[in-house]
Amino acid sequence: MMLNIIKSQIYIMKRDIYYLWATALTLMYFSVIAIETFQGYLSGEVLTGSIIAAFMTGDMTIVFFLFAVLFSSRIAGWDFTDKTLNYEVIYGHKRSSVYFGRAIVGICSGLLRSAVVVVVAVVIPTIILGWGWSVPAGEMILRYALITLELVRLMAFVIMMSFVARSNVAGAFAGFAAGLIPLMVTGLADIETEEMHTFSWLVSSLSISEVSSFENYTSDYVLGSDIIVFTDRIEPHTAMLMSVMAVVCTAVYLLAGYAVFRKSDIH
Amino acid sequence: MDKTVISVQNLTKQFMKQKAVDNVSFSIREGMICGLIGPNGAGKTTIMKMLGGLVIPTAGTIEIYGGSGEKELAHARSRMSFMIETPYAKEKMTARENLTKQCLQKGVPDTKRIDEVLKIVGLGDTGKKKVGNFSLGMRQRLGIAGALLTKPEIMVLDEPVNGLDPEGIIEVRELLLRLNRENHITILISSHILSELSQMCTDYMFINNGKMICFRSAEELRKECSDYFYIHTDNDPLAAAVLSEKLSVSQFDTDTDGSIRLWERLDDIRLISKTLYENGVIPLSMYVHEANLEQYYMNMVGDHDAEHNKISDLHNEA
Repeated sequence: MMLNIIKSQIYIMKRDIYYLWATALTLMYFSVIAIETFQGYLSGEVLTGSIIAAFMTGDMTIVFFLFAVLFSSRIAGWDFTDKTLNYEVIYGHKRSSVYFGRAIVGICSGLLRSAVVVVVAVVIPTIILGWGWSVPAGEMILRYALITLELVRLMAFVIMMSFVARSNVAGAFAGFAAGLIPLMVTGLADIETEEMHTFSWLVSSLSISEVSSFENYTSDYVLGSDIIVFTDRIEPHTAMLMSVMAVVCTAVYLLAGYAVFRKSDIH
Repeated sequence: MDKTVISVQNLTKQFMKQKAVDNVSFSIREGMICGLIGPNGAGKTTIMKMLGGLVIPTAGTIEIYGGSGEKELAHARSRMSFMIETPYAKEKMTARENLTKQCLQKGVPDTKRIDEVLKIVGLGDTGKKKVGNFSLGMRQRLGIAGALLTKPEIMVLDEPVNGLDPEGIIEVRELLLRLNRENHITILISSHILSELSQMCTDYMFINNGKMICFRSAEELRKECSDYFYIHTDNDPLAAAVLSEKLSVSQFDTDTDGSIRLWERLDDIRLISKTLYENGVIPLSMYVHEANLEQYYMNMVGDHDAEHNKISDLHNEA
């Protein structure tokens, strides 16, 4: 039965121009920041997959963030407006199928689009140019894995808020607030993130902001070329904490949203 | 028509301080076409929403096909179709696309059924027209089409003829009667058009202020809504005996105050009064009462409102 919900959501997405616009605008934004980032590479450094990944991942994370919020809020909250969700309940679908079916589609949709960006921006250049020496491949894979978990956590939060408020706009607003407010607060208060590997760091957007960017690097000379070597590394215990917290928070958000939806009237 | 398909016991729904549905109980048997009649705000739609699982009851139980648990009700609803309030549709999709989506949601593998139901409701030639450009009547038809997709065993329809022209109303009525006759589909239908309901329902539920006023079969209602002769005498039991023995009258009954309501020989007022007088019964009041369904309904709702206000006044005084 949940499969029927998922199939119908995919059918709707293929015909809803919102998703096309959201994807196009996000990719346009990404293109602009990509061009700005690489304007400094017209001479000197050798361009490799690891350089692109190290410099671009921070900007790509903003794109991932936009995909996550825009898609998951729409899928979770929009169907309250035209009673699509009402009819799924009266067709005999259990509320758990209605809720978790949408959660699955929302999360997968956001992750899939983000994955396409990674393939286009990092994987294809790596195939063409080689990985290089700027960052170990394992370090980048770890960071992408942590970013994925954090995005899932964010989308679970947006889905919960969309169902509680019965509105995709409210869900999107909550997602943007959850993502931007911690960054604004730490920026305004000039707090160093190294001082904040605490619970609040783990549950906010600060963690994803840190794993997606590299602050420290050195220069080196390899095989006749100047290269940049990034020295930031994610500590194993930090990765473990982030992973556990992301999984726990995802479960808490999704179950909390379902608990509210299960017992609420749908008008 | 013996098997009970829907059974509702002491169903109550409270929104904040207001009881939208107050202790309602009824049973619907297989094959019935049951009309749910009441003024705006009476609780009709709320009852249908509770049957559909959209609104959680505050108290009471709902059983459909004998099951009352969440899983059993969900399974039972898959054998039903609902059309509650304005039918939903994605405005930027065509009628066919909307029904295709519903097929996916309902797990209906055969999309040929879409052509069949579109033809049944007269929307077979809408082509690429988006639902956003449909009239209200067309949207109602699309809602009915959606309700027919899975060949349901029970249909719950909330004012399905709302917005339809007279021809459309007749078509829907004939369609529902045919579905009931040929496929033995049980139908629960609400409408404000009482004359329309009277042409198809086998039973009626009257509801007002969230409470069930009465449940009548079509036969009982026909009797209560027919013209009758009202007779009140100085000896009503003797009057009843005289009518039965001297005039061979059988279609009458006595009210709680002893007065007689007579459904035959309405043109024989002189003969009736003469016979009563000759047998020692003095008529105190005699007249022909003209009734119809609308009047019956207005009287019932009016009486119920008066009773409701009386109870409220007593509460306020206390």
